[in-house]
Amino acid sequence: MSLASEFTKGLWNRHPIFRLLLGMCPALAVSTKAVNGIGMGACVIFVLVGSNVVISLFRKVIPNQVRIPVFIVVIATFVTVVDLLLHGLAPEIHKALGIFIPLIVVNCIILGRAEAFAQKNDLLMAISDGLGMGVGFTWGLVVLGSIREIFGLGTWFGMKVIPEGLPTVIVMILPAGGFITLGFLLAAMNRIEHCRTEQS
Amino acid sequence: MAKKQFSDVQTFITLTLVCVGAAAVLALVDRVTQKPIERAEARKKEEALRIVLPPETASIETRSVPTGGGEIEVNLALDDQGQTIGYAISSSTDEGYGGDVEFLLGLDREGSILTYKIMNHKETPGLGDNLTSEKFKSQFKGKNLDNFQFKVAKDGGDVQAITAATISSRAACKALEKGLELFQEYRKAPGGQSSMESEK
Repeated sequence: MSLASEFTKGLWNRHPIFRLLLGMCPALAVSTKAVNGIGMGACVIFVLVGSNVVISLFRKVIPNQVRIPVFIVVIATFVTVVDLLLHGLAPEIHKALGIFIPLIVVNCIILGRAEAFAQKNDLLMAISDGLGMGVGFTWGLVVLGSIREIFGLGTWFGMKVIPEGLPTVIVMILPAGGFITLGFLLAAMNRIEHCRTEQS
Repeated sequence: MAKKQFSDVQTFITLTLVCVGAAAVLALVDRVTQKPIERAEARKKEEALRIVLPPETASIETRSVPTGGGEIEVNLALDDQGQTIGYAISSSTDEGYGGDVEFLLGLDREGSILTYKIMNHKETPGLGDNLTSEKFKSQFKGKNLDNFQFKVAKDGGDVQAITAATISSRAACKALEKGLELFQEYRKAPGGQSSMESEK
């Protein structure tokens, strides 16, 4: 596989949310608004690329039996470093992302990529994989968040898109709405995939 | 791909080194960011106080007085002549829909509500978090314990609850009422007089 295809696989074919169904907890929890998707996505891209880099660099010296504890320590360290740095150096961004940063630790995409990819591939491949998966996760969150925000609140990125007076569907921004939206998106993705394989 | 075999001792040493390394990185980052974080937090508090206190506030003085129920901390807003023109007091409740809700109340010279700011909450996005909306806030302007029933209309009070967020609205009533009660206690307490000139 080339560097470019390691990047693009995360965008569609092996999309972390819609194909691998990884990172569901943070994806559903934060996707109540489109803008949250950008914030969470940015944090995930940073931590994912960072942990992929470290794990790929040290892959030859990490004994197989203890690889998972090592991955978890590396990921948790990265998340804490991001949290502290943002808090101290960019308090505005930290305020906006505050609750999402600790959530990254429980995002299994990061552990998943460490285990499935970074520990077996060299540095550049691992960076490419991390970026692709991170960007894929981000667009997935933005789409989920957009649908839920438009139907639930009548706004998109905070701008009014549904005229005043029309009812909004409150359930869309509640947890149940997250599952409903995700279900429809998965169905749509499968349908598109199905059509594509039939054509070829 | 086949991995190199490691002995138990090597495994043990590697894992230990990884953890020590992670701890070292965290300690370093913590040390570097400690000061900036403290500054950012102090600025955040100052900004919050500026929002709830009257716009003419020139300086802010923090005072705590002992009462029967423990210390009460009140922030006094002083104008450029050193006259007290308002107060800010923290109040919280654990009866929000998502748990704790922390308020910072701004009071005028007489102890009526100017406005408030929510410092921390976990209310439902789109519903309970409308506690921060101007529409809900504005109904408390100029209100105090004597001229207002801090209960939602459904419970026989004067507060227009947020649609589909009665529990959050009730929590707000509780916290605001508690804040005003704390302020009354503060006024009664020794050293809790209303303005600087009374001390002279």
